[in-house]
Amino acid sequence: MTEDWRNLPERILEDLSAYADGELAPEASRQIEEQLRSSPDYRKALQAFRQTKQLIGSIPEIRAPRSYALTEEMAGIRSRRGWFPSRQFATALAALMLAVVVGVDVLTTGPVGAGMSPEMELRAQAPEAADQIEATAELQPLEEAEVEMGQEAEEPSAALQAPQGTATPEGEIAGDMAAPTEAEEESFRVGEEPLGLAGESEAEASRLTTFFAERPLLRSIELLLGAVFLVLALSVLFRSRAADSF
Amino acid sequence: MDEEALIHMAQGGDLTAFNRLVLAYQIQVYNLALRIMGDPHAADDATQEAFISAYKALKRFRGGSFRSWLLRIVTNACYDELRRRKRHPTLSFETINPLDDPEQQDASGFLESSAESPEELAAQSELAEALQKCLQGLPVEFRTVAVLIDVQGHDYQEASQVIDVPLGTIKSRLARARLKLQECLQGYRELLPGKFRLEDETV
Repeated sequence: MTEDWRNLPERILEDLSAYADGELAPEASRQIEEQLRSSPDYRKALQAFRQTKQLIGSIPEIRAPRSYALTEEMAGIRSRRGWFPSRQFATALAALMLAVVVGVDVLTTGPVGAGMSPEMELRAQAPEAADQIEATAELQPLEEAEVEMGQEAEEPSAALQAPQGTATPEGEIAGDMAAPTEAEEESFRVGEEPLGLAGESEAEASRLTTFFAERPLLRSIELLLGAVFLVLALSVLFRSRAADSF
Repeated sequence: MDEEALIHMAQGGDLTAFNRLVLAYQIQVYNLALRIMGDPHAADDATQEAFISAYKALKRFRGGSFRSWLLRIVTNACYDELRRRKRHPTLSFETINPLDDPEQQDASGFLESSAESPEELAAQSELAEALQKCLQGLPVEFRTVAVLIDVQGHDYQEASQVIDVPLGTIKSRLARARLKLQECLQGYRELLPGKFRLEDETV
């Protein structure tokens, strides 16, 4: 087998290739045809080009795997602005409402909330005392509790006069660990002296009653708003990324 | 409705009109991308990207062959992706080229044929694979010309418009592409139909 035709000048090979396509100018075509009559290499070269063209041309056309029609998002048309920004607004509103409710919760239940942690500690440390407080709180009518709270406010010294020496060792340890505020000290006393100053205990218990009465509602609202905020925020975030991907 | 009217409407922002043009040309655009990239997934991306680019650039279309204009956009999208892969060898063409995977070729519909017997189908499958391998073995600028002219049947003038080179360059690149393809296919002579085994019979 010989491939001498490959040794033909590059320009001649290009002309032969173009001649195979009918793309050669008339004058150049005439010259090629003259050579084809006399040169076997010209004929082999032309045959090779034609066969290669035919073989490559047998590669079939593939149907498109899907439609490439553009969506409005792909085209950069924001026709869905109507509902998408409304979600952003709803998210912002939910976030604002959540902040307001949490803020109100903190402000209105601040003193009780501040005493919550140590009180819980004491409840754990002196369960029998805490149980007694709960029992008292359950029996305390709301009006009476408010009256007693008022009395306590008029006589703050009553609380401050509680003897420190009666604190349990656990109470002292808790007191040492964090310098207690006045509210915290009251909480200690709630836990420390369930059987002593009955009036004070009842007052504290009534405040807890109020706290427990209000707290679940606020918590429910907070949780509900938090969930709404989370869902809306994730929804808006997801939509933003989907839009950016185009 | 004729193409010119659809183009005019699309230039005015009518997406439906543009999508009618997309549907009319998506097969040619996808096939050009597929043969340049040699990878159905990359061809899919390049095709979609090309139509998005075309829509955004439509107001700059000043007449002439809309098909050539589209093919030019998808060719550029393919070249950009190939250049990107060259800069990031971990995603190189060779590592994800599915042409060595016969299943991938079958899935692409490459072997739709009139062959009846399993032997004929197998022979055509192997030949199709050989043709694609030889095509992919060409430098991309030669491959593009060979695909435009020998696979898709465009003339030199349109190929010149698509890749924006002079007619002489098209002629030169095509001749060199065919020489390389012919040489490559000699390695698969046993797969070629009898009439294509020219050398032994004609010499």
